[in-house]
Amino acid sequence: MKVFTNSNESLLTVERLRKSYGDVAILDGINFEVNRGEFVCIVGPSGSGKTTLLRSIAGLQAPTSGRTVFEGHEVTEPPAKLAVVFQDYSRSLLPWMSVAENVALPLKGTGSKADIGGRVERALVSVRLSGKGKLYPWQMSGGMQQRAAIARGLAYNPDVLLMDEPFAAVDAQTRVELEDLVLRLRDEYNTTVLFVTHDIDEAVYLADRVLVLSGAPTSVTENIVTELPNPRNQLETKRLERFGEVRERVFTLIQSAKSHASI
Amino acid sequence: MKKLLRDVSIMLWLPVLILLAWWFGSANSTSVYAPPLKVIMQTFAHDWLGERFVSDALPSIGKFAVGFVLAGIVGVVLGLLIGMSKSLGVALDPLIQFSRAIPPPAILPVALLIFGIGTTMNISVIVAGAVWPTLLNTIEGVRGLDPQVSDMTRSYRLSYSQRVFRVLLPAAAPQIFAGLRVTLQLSIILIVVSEMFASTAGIGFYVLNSQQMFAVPETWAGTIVLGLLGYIATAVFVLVERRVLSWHRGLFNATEKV
Amino acid sequence: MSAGTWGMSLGRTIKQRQRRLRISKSLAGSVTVLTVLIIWEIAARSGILPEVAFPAASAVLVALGGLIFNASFWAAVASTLAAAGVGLLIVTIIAVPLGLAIGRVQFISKSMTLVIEFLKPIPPVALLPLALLFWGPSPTMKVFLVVMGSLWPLLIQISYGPRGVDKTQLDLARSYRFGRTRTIRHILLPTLVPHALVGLRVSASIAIVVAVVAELIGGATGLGQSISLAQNAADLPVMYALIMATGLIGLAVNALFELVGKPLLFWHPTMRVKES
Repeated sequence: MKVFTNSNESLLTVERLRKSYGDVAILDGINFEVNRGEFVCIVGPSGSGKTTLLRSIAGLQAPTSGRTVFEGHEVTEPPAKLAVVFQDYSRSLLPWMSVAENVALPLKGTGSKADIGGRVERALVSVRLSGKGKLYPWQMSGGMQQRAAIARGLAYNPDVLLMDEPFAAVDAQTRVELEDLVLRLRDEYNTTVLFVTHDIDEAVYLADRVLVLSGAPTSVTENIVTELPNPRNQLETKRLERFGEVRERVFTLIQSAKSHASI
Repeated sequence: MKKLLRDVSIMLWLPVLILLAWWFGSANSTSVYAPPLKVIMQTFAHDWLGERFVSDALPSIGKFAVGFVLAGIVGVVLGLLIGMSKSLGVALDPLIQFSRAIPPPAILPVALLIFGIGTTMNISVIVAGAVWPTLLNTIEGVRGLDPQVSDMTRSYRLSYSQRVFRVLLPAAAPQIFAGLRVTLQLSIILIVVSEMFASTAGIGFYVLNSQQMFAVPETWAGTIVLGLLGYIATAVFVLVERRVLSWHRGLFNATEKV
Repeated sequence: MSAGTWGMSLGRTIKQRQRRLRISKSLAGSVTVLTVLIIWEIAARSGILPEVAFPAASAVLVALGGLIFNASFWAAVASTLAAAGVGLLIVTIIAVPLGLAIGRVQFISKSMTLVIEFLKPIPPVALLPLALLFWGPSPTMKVFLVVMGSLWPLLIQISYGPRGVDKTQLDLARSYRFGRTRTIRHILLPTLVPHALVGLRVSASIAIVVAVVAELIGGATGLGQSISLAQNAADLPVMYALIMATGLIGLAVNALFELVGKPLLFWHPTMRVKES
């Protein structure tokens, strides 16, 4: 049984992040840390500005106040060692390029053609898409497309992988495969993962730590260490008493967050 | 096999009927303006499958091709620049809206004054008149870039040339081609119009001239040539479009099934 | 703060911002037009632009003003618009039944494909000499060309209509036993009208252009002929003024279509005002 050690090296720190549109506050003072090697999940009720938070962290959007510090530097533009896997793969994968070309696109200038080809191939093998590089995204199923998007993130060689509800648009059975795939990839590539989801079971299953968000104006309600053993298993891990405890805690927090927002 | 035969005959019966009706209906025609189809065809063969093809048809086709390609390039390049820059767009928008409303043939007298009779005049009329659909469609295509795609290009720190050539242009390509199609039609119209209006050679000039000299079969034959020019140019364009946008069709068919 | 009030206050701010954006946009636009006119004026007067081809902007504007009070100008406008209008009427009479037939009956659609594919790309201008042979420089000649030029957009748009009727809506009509008239009125027409209006709008602008060209080259009365006459008389300010006037009329017709379209089509997805 492998237990994950938290080296206390903080790769990503979010400090008092606030985002408002006019006088409407969406994010209200978000604070948290992500350490090297951790798998951190963010869960929250719908409308809690999860995507806004993610975009601010990824450097795509400036916060109204507060900041994100990534590897010692404040984030003002997309950092080079951070890769994002977007929610809608059908829109973030370019339909006029093959899957291999999509994965290789961000790698331009990072090495010779052979080097890049090698990295692309390795990423595709990791996500179980080897030999499918020549296909176009729309020739593949949803699950395969999302795997291609993940491959693109991995080939980019990031220190932190940011995933925005990546399995929301995929059917339940495929989702199970993809969850386990992500865990395996985390081990293989040694990446740190920040994973946003609305699915409580998924969050608890995958995470070393779960950050629960409140409703808008959003802040971090609670930071729960899951204390679940690695490697995870869809049946056994979910049978553990600890799993049920964490799940119940998160569920309760989100229910009360929802009733406060009175949607 | 039976189905193929049936499909082909459904497509062909009407055109064949019309041609036959024309042939036999006009065979004994005494009307000055509607000679027998046989005579028209003979004139056509005599006129256009011989020396006149080189002296009149080729120059026209050349001017049309150059004009169309230029209009397309100008439209796409300018459209890219204006579409990508917010300030340029706001500043130039009313100017563009006004210019495109001017019926292209109205430019003819102006072009004649500036360039006089000649190839430059023909080509500049085509460019000035036909560029608008491509320009406007390119601007719209560029502006309409999916925000998630834009996020993705920024997040993965793609270079400027990657953003333009591997993301923006392909993404806008369907719309650009829709604009190019109209530009093609306008180019055809404008080469004919400009040659009729002020030229001393070319298919357009020849047809109008034949009419003025009451050379009736020649007028008919020349008109048929113009029709063929339009048809072939459009067919070639469709072939090119199909190849360039093959990914778009694939995507459309795949998503349609859902 | 409940989500309900949150939504409302967000909406108000966005509407205000939209209005401010619109005002600043039209301000920027007017500034650009003014700047262009001023540059034109300076360039023409100082001789940068050859006087032989470009009169001063002020002269053209004066000429434009003069046209407005000139009866023969309006006669020419009437002649052009009449030809375009009559042509459009004929086009509508042909295109509606034929387009519907093509859209609903596959046999007709397939039979007509080749004929339409060949006739469509023929520029009406190409038919000008033949039309002159038959009718000389007359209104009939103009109307013929208008019809040949503007038939196709409307015809094709209308033929798209029947295929676009929502099957669910048809099922609805049948299960509530609407009967023929009500089905046509409440389901078919609202689906077909947007297509028809789009086609009509394109056909209308083509109609005007074809009419002007027929006058310019064929010598029939109308705006096109006035332009040609002004050019022959080397009266440049008037010529440019006429060209501008033609453009403005085209814009006006387009705007008219938009105006008419809005109340008829407010419900259509393309015309819905977006909520915040």
